[in-house]
Amino acid sequence: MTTRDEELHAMEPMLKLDAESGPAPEISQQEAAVLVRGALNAALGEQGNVVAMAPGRPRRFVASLTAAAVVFSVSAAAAAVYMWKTELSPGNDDRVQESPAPVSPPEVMEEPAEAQEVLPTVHLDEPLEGPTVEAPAPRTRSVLPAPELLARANQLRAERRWRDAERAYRAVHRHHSGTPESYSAMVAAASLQLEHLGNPREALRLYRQALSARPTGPLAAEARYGIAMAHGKLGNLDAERRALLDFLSKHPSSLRRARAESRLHELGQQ
Amino acid sequence: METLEFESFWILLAKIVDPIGDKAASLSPVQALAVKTPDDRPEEPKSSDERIARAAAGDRRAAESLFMELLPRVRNLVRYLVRGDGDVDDIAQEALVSVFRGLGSYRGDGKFESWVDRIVARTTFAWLRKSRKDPAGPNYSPDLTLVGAGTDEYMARRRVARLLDRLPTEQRHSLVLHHVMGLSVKEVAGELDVPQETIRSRLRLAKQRLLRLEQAANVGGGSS
Repeated sequence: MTTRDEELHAMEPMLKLDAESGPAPEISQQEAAVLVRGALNAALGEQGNVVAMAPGRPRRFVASLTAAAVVFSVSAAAAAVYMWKTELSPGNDDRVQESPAPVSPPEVMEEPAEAQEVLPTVHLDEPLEGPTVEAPAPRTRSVLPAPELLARANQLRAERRWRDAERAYRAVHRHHSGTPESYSAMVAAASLQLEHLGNPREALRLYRQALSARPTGPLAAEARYGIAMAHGKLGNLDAERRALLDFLSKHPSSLRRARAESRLHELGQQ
Repeated sequence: METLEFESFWILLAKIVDPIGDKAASLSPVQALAVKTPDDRPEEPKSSDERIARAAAGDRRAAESLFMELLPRVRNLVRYLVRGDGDVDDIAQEALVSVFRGLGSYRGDGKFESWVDRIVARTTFAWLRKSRKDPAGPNYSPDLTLVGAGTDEYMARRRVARLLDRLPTEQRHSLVLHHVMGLSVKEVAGELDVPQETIRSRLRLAKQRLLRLEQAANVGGGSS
């Protein structure tokens, strides 16, 4: 076998075909269900209320609707916060009337990029401070938008540049606190600290911070499991046991349930 | 150390839209369907063979359950075969339609997944022909990496897919059919309707190019 053949063989594990994640981009169970039902509707010739496959672009329609709905939802929330703040501010009636609506749905759907420029400055997860509130200012141009920063961090992680990736994830959190990207970045940074940078204490802090920010967020299971793993790394076996029990009680259907139960069994024997 | 699994940014977005998303995401496909439509709860999961037979007979619930399991593999194969993420779900959906319509012809001679793989590959090729796309042309939208933090393996697979994106289409398809789907050179030649020697040549060139791309990515910091 030549060296080149050996090199290719080294890559073959990455050419696996299975039902695990990758290389297709991940989708939610809801999106998967919509996709499957759309296919069945088309195959059975039914007009379902989920997806009626149009020639050529069946799912893109759903994706567009989803994206528009997401932008609309977040924008509406931001607008609500902005308007609520403005109403609290004494003497601001004129400004409320003069100011255009922060984001109107049609504009958002046509120009989502501009709408997103403003949104990250609104920290929906944080308590509002004081009655005097200025209109949300556009973010400075020197900071990349959250999705781009997150993509950069992901790229660094794909290149196995753990330290750089961890810094990049932190930058997402620092510049775009309160956004979904920030939340995702916090958990990702924690995993890097735990798995590659040998700092379970910092991982524990980040996981807790993420969980505190969004106790029922979509990455809550990852955070709770990560907390247990971090305790294990630190040698806090009682805390690890409690964290695993907490994880199992709150996420009984998690894919990691078997692993958690196995680890609990091990801990019980120690 | 166990590798943690993460959900993508798109999943986060989907959950903002769908208030039950948080709950359903941690459930199995069958459970997720049950959450979504409690009145449409699938029956208890059956064996794969039984589900296939029921689906072939037109049992929608069996088909849904079966396809929810198949979908990740179908999407992954499509992504191996096409450039970028843009068309993956469209093609996967069309492939599922083809699979459903072909279920009656499945005789159980080979592995069901392998039978599905071939339909997916054929559907993908047909899609590419039908859409008359030049994957390397100006309309090609590169992977924007709009993904969240994934497992290391997920990120590595994404990286390999991006390397494949830079192969000529015919080399890529030969490589995927042979190395990913596990078809023999003879079978690949049959699927692509070209001589076996042509397939061997494509495989050789694809390997060389892939290795060069990999080495260049490693030297240049992976900006493939």
